[in-house]
Amino acid sequence: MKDRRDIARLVQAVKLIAFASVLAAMCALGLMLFLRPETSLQENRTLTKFPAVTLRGLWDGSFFSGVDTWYADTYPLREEMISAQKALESHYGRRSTQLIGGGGMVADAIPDAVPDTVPEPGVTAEPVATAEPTATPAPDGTVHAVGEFNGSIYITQNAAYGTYYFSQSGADDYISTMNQIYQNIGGKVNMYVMNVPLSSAVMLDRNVIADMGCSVESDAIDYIAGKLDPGIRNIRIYDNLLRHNAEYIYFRTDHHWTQLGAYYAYQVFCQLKGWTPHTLDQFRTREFGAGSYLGSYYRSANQSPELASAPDTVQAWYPMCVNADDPNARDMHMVQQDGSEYDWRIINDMFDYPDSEWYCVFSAADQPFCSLHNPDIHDGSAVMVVKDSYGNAFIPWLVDHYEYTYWVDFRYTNETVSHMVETYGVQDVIFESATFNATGDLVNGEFLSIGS
Amino acid sequence: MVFSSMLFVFLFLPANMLSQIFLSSPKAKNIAMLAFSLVFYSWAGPRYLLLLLGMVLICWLGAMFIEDAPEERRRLILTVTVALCLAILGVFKYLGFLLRNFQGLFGVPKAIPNIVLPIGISFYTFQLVSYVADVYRGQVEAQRKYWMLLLYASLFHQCIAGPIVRYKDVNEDILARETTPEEVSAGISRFAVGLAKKAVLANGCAVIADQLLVSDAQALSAVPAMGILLGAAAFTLQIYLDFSAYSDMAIGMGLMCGLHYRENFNYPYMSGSITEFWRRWHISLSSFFRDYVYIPLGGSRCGTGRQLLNLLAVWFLTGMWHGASWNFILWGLFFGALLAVERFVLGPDAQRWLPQAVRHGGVLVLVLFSWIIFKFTDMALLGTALKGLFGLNHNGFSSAAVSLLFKNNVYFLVLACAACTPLGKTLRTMLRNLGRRGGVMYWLDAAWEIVHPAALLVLAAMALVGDSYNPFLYFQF
Repeated sequence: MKDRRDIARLVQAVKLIAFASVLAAMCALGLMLFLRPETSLQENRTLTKFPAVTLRGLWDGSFFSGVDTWYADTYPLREEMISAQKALESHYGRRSTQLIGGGGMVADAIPDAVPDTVPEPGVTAEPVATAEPTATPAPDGTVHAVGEFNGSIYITQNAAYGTYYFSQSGADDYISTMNQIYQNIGGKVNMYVMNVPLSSAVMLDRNVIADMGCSVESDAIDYIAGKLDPGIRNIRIYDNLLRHNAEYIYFRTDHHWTQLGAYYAYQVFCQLKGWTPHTLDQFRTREFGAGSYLGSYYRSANQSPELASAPDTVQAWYPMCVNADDPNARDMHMVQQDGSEYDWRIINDMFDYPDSEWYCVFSAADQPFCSLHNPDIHDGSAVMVVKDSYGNAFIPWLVDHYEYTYWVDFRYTNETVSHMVETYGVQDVIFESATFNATGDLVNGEFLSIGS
Repeated sequence: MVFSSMLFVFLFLPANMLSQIFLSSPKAKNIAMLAFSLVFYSWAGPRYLLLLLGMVLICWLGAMFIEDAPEERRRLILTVTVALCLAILGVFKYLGFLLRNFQGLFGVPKAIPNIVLPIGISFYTFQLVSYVADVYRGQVEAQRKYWMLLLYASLFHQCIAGPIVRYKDVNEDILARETTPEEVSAGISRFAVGLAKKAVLANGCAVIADQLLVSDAQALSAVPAMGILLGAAAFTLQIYLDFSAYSDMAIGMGLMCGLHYRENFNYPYMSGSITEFWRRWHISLSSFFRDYVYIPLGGSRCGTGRQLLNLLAVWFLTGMWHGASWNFILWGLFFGALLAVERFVLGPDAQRWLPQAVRHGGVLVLVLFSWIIFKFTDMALLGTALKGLFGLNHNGFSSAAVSLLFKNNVYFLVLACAACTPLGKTLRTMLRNLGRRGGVMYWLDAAWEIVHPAALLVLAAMALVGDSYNPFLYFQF
């Protein structure tokens, strides 16, 4: 019995030492200020700064709550600990299919739309081989991606799908703005509108979408098309995307389409223009971030292990008018939000950027103003694409058809469309936006400002 | 500051523990504990500290005056002291509510002052009131040192979210603290269990509840009946796990430094009646109302009508204590009505003739329903949720989203349910008993005893580090 008592005391002592050791180790780790990270690659954000000391902050407690947040937010090994937590949470239930962030989203009913007046393009797609992942990790860098997705995420079979919720007021504001812009510029240029659906609209069964209480995005696209001024030409890409939905036209872990998806939109545009689209085999192609690209859905889905098991690859096709071989070649020009200007590449390797930024390969990502001069064409033709981030993968397909291609991200530019059309003498203006941007309240203010 | 923050667990607590280990005299320990407690309380803004200091001053003086006063004046001093405390609580907690209702009825006043509720005011007011009342009753002597009474009221273990500790229960501990290895060991386990319960289980339940019991009316009306039910079930789990976790941590930290707090929860969801539920839920609050309101009003030693009135008064006040909003009053009266039905209609015999499963199931259904009332301070939202629960929002029985949410978290929910029962305690006792027989089980028992607090601490840290802000539900009461 005495031995047992001794052992019991020993157990208590070891328990105390184990607990105190963990506590002391975590305490020491927290005090190692030099180990504290400043940015989170996994969450794609700058971490909380230590709060400024102000009398007001001290008095009302905001300074102290700021210290609390800073301490936890920049705790060393934070990302590793969060990853471990997410791995643990993946065992909370049967998670082969998930809906993340499903609360609080309500869709408006979509009114009956006037049938789309744009003829269905009879386009046959070329078969495309999807890339197999080969690990190419990228170093740290600045975070550029725009967190524009604002819904919930449905995950099934290791792929994520954004859910779409129609907003009547958002859609009507968008339609009104487009029609207003057409009144301003319609007599001078050809105006096109293209709404890009989310992968869920193209890849998921409609019943699944209906069961989740989401809107049918193609109905929203039809609603918009039916309400636009008849002079605006609608690039209705939905059906062509649907036709190719067995191909790699959307990323699994990111809310964007692939450049292949954008290619099928380009086919529809060519049909409208009466052009013969270039075929994929006419372009040089290259893979980026092979097997390591985990995009916005991965972050929004709390670093879902299901998505981590199936990372994406970005396949890019170089326009024929640019030098694909010379990494130092600069084929386009961009103006950033702070006014700084750079010569850039329309397909730019992102090796200096984090793995989560591979979509920024295309068209210098989201900038207020970009332009590219095609040295092979001398007819003065010019197009302007007013776009969100979906337009980035679409623009490289266009540049071989115009002498001048201009593109502006409507979320970041301060210029109005009328002014830019006059300044650059374009003949075609394409308004590209994801349907969730067009019919959401998130960016309609930006639409209004460019249309004023 | 809250216990479930990284800063508290990995900086504040170690520093506090070191002070308690290395300071030898009880006085030095108490001074250090007071300093830590005041820093802890000031973390939400030092302006609230002034209020705490003032309330303690009132009760410190009041209690001394009561003790020193002649018999005929003692009651008056008690009344004045308690009234002052309750008036301060009333101004900070209920004035805005009263003015809003007055404005709704009569159109005045035009502007309602935005009074911020100081954290923990409901807890420390009740602690101080109980102290003054106990001095009046002669159950404890008045504390002659202001800072010692301040230590009692501000002890960071229980100051801002309970349990409501009686002065007589901790006074001797404060004066002469003794720690034993057994109690320190038990305290470590209790704290670690509480922290993990909060960080992993309660916060996990909150994620589910918040997705379904949303605060947007349109979105809430779109949640089908099963969604409301799942959300309410998750909230039912959350509120117990959250609140009992705080009490676990308070009790655990107390044990680690020689302070003994009474249990505040005793597996309330295992109750077979509402009466039993309230003997097991937030025990320190219900015993406060019993000892300082219900019994002084006459308790059950009076006629049925008066008993009923006493009961409703207590439960009206219990509801009010939880918040200045009609839903809390409704919630309190709901329980008051249930208790009245149990006592005056069903009687004690009902406990016998109803099968245990039926009684237990019935209690769970009623408690779950009560938490829906508790959840929504906006009465319109509450109406929408209650309609939704019975399928009256015309949005179907269930949906893919609800079904997926359930499937995605089914094992977690089972674990959370198990954590609300004595299952873990039973298994631990079984392991200990098996260990006493020797052999492998003996070493398994020892290994578990050594590993579980450290492992739970790491698990909790993993869960907390991504949750920069996660206050306890009872933080503001």
